[in-house]
Amino acid sequence: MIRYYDIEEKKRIGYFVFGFALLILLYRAWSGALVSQLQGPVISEPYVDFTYWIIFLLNIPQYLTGHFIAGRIFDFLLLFFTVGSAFFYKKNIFPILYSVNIFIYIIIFNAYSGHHTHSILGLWIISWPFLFSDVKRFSLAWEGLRYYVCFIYFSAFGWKIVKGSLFHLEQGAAVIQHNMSTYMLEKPDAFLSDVLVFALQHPNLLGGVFVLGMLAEAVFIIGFFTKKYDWILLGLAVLFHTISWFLIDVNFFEFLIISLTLLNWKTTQN
Amino acid sequence: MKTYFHHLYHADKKLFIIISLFSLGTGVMTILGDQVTPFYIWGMFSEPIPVRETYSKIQLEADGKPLEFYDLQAPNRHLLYGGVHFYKKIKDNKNTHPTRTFFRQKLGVHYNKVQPILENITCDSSDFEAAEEWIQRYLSYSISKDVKEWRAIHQEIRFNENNRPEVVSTQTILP
Repeated sequence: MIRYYDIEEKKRIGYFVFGFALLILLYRAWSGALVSQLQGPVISEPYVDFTYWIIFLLNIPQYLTGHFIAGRIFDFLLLFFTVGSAFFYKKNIFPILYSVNIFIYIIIFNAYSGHHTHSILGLWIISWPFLFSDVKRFSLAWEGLRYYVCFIYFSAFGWKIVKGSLFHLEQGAAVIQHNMSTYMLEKPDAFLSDVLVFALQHPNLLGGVFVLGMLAEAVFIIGFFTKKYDWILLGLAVLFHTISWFLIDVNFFEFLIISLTLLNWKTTQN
Repeated sequence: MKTYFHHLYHADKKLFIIISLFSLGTGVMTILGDQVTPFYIWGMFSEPIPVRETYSKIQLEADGKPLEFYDLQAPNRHLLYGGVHFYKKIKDNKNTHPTRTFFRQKLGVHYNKVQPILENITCDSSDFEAAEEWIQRYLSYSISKDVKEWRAIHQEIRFNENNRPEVVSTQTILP
């Protein structure tokens, strides 16, 4: 059963979505990671992604990062369109402009960091349903995005079967040693370092935690059949990313923005 | 039981086409194992990672003082260390951008068809000086201090019998 939202409900969803996006962007501004703060980077990695090639051939990243004023205007507009998308919810012009700007920002951030990270993609993906001003079309797209969220987590589990990390008992220890060695060197007396040492001393327990994490992704298949357990899926997503952040320094908190599709925003019956 | 696509088809044919094409693209790319924006593959940490004797890390030094990696915020360190790592990767790849190498190997004699595009969108050794200047600029910006000299140090780290990491060797690799 599709949940058809009314304009007031769409407004509320927009407040949360673009409010969340604004917080993320302000955090990025504080971190010195917006376009005008990049200090004119030189080395980029468009990789084998032809969409990146097109954007780079159009010279957009090079121009924005190479001209401070242009970068500043871009950053300002990105924040402005984010706020505008929340408040001017009856029109789709602000979400369209937000979507274009955040897309360019993601390409710039990923290309100049030399690694195309997925954690930032939620900021763009969540804007897709808002590209439609019609509330019925928005509701259908929002519902579609909910299925896509379930697909993302479940396919992540599927890849772990196909590639084999699900059956690789050393995976937990290897990822901790690879990702957390710098942390443990810099902060040997931190509580987290002790937790990590304990985890490495108990490989079976650690392996079990990793397998549980992977199985948590598998649970998202339920979302294809019923919405009854969406709050559990939302809880699992939060838990999964929290534990990943602490244990292996994989920060996917920004990505949680797309989990907002798992909430029931209806205040009235269809 | 009627599916989402069934509802979508009857409610909005245009949106049905858009979402079907996106789903199809995502499905095809997932099967092919490649990703092109917006058809992403969600396979992070799916490859088995072996436990190693030692792990390679890069430490940055600003005016003789080691930079604390975790004093920087995540997006900031992703850009700074990611940029340094990638620059090092290019230098290790005989001063050639890895994407150029990838296509040269993949396309063989047909490489010249994409060569002008790749030369347009990827850097080469003529950009190295500017790249090192950028590292210095962004490092200065990141720690809010005018850095006069910087170094990137390659560290080999191993885990001892108490499961604590220790540095077993260091080597200056950049600039």
